[in-house]
Amino acid sequence: MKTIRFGVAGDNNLADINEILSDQEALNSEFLDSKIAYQDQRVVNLVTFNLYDDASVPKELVLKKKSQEPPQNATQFWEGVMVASKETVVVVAYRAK
Amino acid sequence: MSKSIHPLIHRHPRFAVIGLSLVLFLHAFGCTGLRYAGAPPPSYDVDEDLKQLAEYFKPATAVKNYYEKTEPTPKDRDAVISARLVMINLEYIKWLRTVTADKQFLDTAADVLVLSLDLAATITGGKTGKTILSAVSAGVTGSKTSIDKHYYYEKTIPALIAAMNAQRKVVLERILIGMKGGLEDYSFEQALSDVYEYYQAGTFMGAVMAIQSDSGAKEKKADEKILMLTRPTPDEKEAVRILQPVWVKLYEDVKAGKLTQEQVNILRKALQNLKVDIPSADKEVLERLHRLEQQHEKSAVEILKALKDAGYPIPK
Repeated sequence: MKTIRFGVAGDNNLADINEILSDQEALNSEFLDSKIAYQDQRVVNLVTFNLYDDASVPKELVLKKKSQEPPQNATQFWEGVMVASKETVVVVAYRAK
Repeated sequence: MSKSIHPLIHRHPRFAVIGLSLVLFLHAFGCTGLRYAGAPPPSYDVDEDLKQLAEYFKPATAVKNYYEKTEPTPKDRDAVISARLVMINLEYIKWLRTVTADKQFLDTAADVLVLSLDLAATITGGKTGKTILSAVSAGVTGSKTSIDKHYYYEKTIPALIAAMNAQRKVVLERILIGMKGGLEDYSFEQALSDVYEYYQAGTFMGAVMAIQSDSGAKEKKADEKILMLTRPTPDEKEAVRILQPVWVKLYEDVKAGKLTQEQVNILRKALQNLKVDIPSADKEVLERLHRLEQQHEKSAVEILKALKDAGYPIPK
């Protein structure tokens, strides 16, 4: 297992960020968390992934704003602040059961 | 203050540059020059409202009032805390207007202020207070629209303000959750400490420290280039879909000890086609190829082509 960080631009909306992270998970990796960082004179989401040592794919990832209803049949595994649509939002990450 | 700043600047000279830029920036434009961020003074008088709020909340913000209670309740705690939040938020907006003209940042800060005003109005319950609070609330949200968004726009400032707004939200959420609990769960002292942290989060130095203390950013070298993830193209998605069963089969073969020398040679050939370093140990060849895709060193389309050209039987 190896851990790696990528950036995700904060001008994406939350649904797009969810899709971008899910596409990375399709490459046999698992989203762990996100932190706001400063790069190239802009604020980005610095996302951390575990890279699997096999061809496993994690269960579906769902990102929701903290103010939204949580999805059914999913477990929360992370909560923090992300930049989405150029605004800071408190986001909760869920994994399908 | 110097004790906390010097080690930071010593360890991370770029923060000294940011700090110096801020000092020069603020000095160059002064307080009055940026007071209304390039727009005419609004009809709404922030100073006057702050004065009224201070008069109204002065008794509520005093710590001694809480300790004078023989049997303090969560409501006594919340009255002090919510009053302080209002004062900090109003001062924050006042100050923010002097350093940025970005409507988004002001919107975010104004939303938080309105939230705290509502909270304070609920707790204090006074009719006069509510009238003042709702007037201030309307004034803040109304006046922010008159600002010239592009005036005095500076690149470092928005980044720091974004970090400040983000950090303020995290601390505010902790306070709001705490206020739902009893004194045994969320003591007055803890609440005061959180309010102070909330104030600190709304300062440039707090933002710089938040960015610096961010574990990701801390580990990241100043010149390290982080790859930005974007939405894959349809071709890329299709290549990922086709490659998935290939990886499954190969890892299953490795696990079962069935990976043949012929397969290893094909993987080596694929790496050669991709013009990347090839590990000497056979057992590392598959991982090397797989990591190229996972880390986006090569696209899935390129890897798929390299495997095909090397003679790997790709499933349809």
